[in-house]
Amino acid sequence: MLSTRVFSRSLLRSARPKSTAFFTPRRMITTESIPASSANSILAAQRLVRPVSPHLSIYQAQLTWYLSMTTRITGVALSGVFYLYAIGYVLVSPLGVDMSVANVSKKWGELNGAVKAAVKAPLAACFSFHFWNGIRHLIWDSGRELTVRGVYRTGYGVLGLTALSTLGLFVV
Amino acid sequence: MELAGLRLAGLSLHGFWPTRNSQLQTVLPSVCSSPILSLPPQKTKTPTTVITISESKSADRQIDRQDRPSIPFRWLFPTMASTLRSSTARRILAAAKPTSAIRLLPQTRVAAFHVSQRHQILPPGPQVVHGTVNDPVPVPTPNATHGSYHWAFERIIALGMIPLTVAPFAAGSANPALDAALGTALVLHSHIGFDACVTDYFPKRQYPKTRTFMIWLLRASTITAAVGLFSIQTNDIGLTEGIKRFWRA
Repeated sequence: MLSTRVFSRSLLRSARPKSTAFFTPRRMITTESIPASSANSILAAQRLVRPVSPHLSIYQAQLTWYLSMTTRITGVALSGVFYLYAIGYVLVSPLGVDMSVANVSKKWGELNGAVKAAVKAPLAACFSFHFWNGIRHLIWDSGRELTVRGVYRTGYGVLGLTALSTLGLFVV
Repeated sequence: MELAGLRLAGLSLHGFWPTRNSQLQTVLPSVCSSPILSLPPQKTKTPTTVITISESKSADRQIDRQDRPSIPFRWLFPTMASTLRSSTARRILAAAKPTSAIRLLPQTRVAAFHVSQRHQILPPGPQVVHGTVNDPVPVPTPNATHGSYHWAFERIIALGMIPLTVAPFAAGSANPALDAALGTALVLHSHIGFDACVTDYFPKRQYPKTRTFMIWLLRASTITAAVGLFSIQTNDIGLTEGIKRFWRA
């Protein structure tokens, strides 16, 4: 390759000593004396600039790990909403803000229908999925459906049930 | 130190023999993002030296961008060939075989190395080195509280939540006792779930302080949420009725 050749030539040229005498001892390298005690810190610093093993982005999208991941995400979302309101109930109420269910749900009800739908639909989907896939995990925990076929069968079942119950919860 | 230096240089050397003066020239961390060499087994038992040639990193990046095999800036070659360092010998060799500088260096094979981009989904955390490479992995003592009891406890709560969440839907209203049971299970289930996230995403080895902070933040949050839930159950309309009110608002 031309660029490689040009580059290596320029490397050699830059490294060539100015003196014309034959066999001039010349070191083209820079060395640094490093105490043994600094080995760990240098190693730690070096590890930081190492290439990172490829992870999430290289795996084929498969039902197995997608559903597993989604279980945690939906669980964190649901519990996060619950924690936020419950913690706000304790911490914000003393500041004079009325955090009672009656008041907050009234304010919430006054919002635009599209906004409410945009919040309720994901919440319904999160709850449905977490519920059904939680049952799937409990089935596995009892030692059942632990085959590739079983994992996929129950996985598609969870997806179907999630779609149904999301719809049901949404229209309730 | 030579062993440490070998690891520092981030090189995989097969058939490595210490240098004559036992001064291994290590590669400084600032240039370590450049490609890495891997060597085939040395045929002759000659001492090996790691050398670095200072070179601007922009050229390195440019080559990477062109998707060409990167030229390494750390060359390994036997010191036996120290005559190569004289300009005359190099000129002769370069004239004889001017294809690539790498070809001039005997017994050196260059492996193109993909340098990952800086912005990843999960960038490497702080690197902590404890002890040496020869230390055995500490095996934690078996503890049922952190093991089987914990596992069974998680499952009992999760199992119990199935009827507790379905019952109010089926009955249309919530019995206060069932509501209390659902609230308790919900707090415990949420706490266990969040705790699993903290355990997974804040490893003790890499983020000891952040992990401790997150654990205590979670404990404080859970207690506060439990107090709030208790207040909703006792002074307000209760969990199930509250959810129903929000959902139908």
